[in-house]
Amino acid sequence: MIGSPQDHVDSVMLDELKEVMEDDFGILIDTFLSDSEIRLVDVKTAYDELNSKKLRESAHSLKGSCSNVGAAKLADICKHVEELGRVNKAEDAGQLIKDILSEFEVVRVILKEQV
Amino acid sequence: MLVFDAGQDPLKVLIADDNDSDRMILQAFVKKQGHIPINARDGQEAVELFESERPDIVLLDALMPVMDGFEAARVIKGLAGENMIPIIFLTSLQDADSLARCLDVGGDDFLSKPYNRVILQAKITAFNRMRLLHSTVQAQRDQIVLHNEQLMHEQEVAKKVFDNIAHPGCLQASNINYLVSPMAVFNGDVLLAARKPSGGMLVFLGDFTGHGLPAAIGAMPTSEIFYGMALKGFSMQDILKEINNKLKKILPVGVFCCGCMVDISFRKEIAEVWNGGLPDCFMYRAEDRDSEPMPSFHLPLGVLGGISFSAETHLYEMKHGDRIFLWSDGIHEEMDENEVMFGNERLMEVFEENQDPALVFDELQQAVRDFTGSTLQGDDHSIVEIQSVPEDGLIENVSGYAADYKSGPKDWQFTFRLGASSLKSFNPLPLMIHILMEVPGLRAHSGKIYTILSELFNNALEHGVMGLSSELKSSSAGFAEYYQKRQDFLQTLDDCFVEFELDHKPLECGGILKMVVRDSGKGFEYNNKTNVKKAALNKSETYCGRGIPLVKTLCRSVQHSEGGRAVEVVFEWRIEG
Repeated sequence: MIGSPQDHVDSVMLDELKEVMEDDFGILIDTFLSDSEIRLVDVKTAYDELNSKKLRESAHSLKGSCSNVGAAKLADICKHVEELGRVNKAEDAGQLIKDILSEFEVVRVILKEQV
Repeated sequence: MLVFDAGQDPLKVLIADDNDSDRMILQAFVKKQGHIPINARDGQEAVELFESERPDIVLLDALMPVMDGFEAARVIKGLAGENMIPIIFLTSLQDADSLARCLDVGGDDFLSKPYNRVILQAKITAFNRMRLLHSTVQAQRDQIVLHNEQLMHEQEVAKKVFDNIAHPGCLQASNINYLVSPMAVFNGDVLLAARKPSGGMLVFLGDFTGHGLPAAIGAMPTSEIFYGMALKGFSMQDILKEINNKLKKILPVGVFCCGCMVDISFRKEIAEVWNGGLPDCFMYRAEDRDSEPMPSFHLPLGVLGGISFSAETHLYEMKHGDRIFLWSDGIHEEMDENEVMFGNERLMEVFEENQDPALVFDELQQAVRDFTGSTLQGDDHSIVEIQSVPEDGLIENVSGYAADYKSGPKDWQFTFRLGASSLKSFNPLPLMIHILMEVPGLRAHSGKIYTILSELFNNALEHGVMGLSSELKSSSAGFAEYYQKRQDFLQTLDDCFVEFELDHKPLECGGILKMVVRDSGKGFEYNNKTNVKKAALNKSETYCGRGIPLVKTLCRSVQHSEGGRAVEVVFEWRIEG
């Protein structure tokens, strides 16, 4: 279920970013998306390797940039993964990682529409 | 001088974040506020850019590749040195340990993700204000350091000038013990001591109000007047009046000098004391271990002008071995750890418990040390002890006076006649000593000459002009009566004179000084050498034998003439050393 865009991305934040970034808003979104794809790979690899420390770090990093573009739900899932990494339970992150991947696709569509 | 202005000029803001999109957002925020962003992708790059760009504020992501934010902060704080470079950590770390670590390494604040533009801009403004305040404080501190250095330098120069004027006099004499700070003059304390031409000793302890240069300034003329006048044989009353008038004239209202002057005659074993505003000074007698306070009866020097000032002194018997203690109020005001003052009673206890008068001076210092629990630095108080001793063997003034000039009057004569009104109020000795000291080489004999002249002058005035009998002086009751009569007589003088006739001829290595003192009195039976012999036999006569035996020991010849109305003495001297 995709639901309303507001469930996935904070539109107030996005509007503010648009105002501040002006012409660079498009570049910011592109940068965020390509950056995040790299970090998603990091998160998935860490899970595949059951490397809790790496999982924690990569999820933490992704969480930060997601929150900055208003992708609050995605940031929230990252936070759970980071927490599992912290308590050394990388093996329990399987479902959450699938959630991250699908949520990211939703966010990508919403952000692209904003440009 | 820095102007305190919260951020009109654009600031350079270093942004170090490995996440491209996050960095772009921060960069946009900073630009929007009118500042200049500088971008770094990791800690290493941040340090390099910090060195080359010298930003005003640094935003550091905590977790970065190559060099993390913690390490970068440490290096940057080190490079910044004394300058205040605010570091704001960018972090989504939440745990207390991580946040504490940010501050430990030198961070000043945090900004958590998601970044909020309003908060970031408020922080930049706040830190910029702090940064400016810091540089203002720094600049003012540097200025204070500079001023302080200049002040210290000026004080050193002033100290040198002061030392040249206030040479030690005879403070080194074996009968004086004293404790003063080397920079005491800047605490307002001044301690002066001089031998009098007549053989006695003058000591002055002064305590000026205030500190630093203002307190020191009054010490210079005080010292100059003291030494100049003491050398010429002026009385302590005259010296006190002169110092008072000078200080009254030069010091602003509210600045004055509490002081105590003591004139000790070792020969007569009496001390004359004037205390204006210092705490009670003390006479400590060796025989009965009795301590007698010598309180202040006057206002400090420099307060009252002209005729309102009283130089009235108090006489104290002072046998050989007796000691006088003078102190500024510092010793009374020493405090223990509970800020209780040492005070007068504790001072008295030291005297009461003393077993050996020679140790009082040390015991006083020890008592203060025990009380305060710290070493007596002598920084805030001066204390001086003067002992009465036989006159022989006391050193003369340590010089400070220029050596005699080669040139000066060598062959001359003058007559100086004082009439009734002059005799009532004027002491001619300093004036004549002043002229005599111009004779090259004669200064070394000033003490003897002063003694001779003063004996002859007093004889002419008291016995000749006034006709007082010296017999009166043989008992101490008579002594007082004698001086009362002398005082009364002085006021009634009329149609009389005392005349000095001085004649100097140079010899190859010295000279011959002939002094005739003539008076308008009735004269006396002088032609009996036996009297002089009798005087020498009878001890009390040394007081009242017209001082002639003493004069005889100093002169080549003493001749009375004109029916006892004139006496002529010949003083032959040689250049010393």
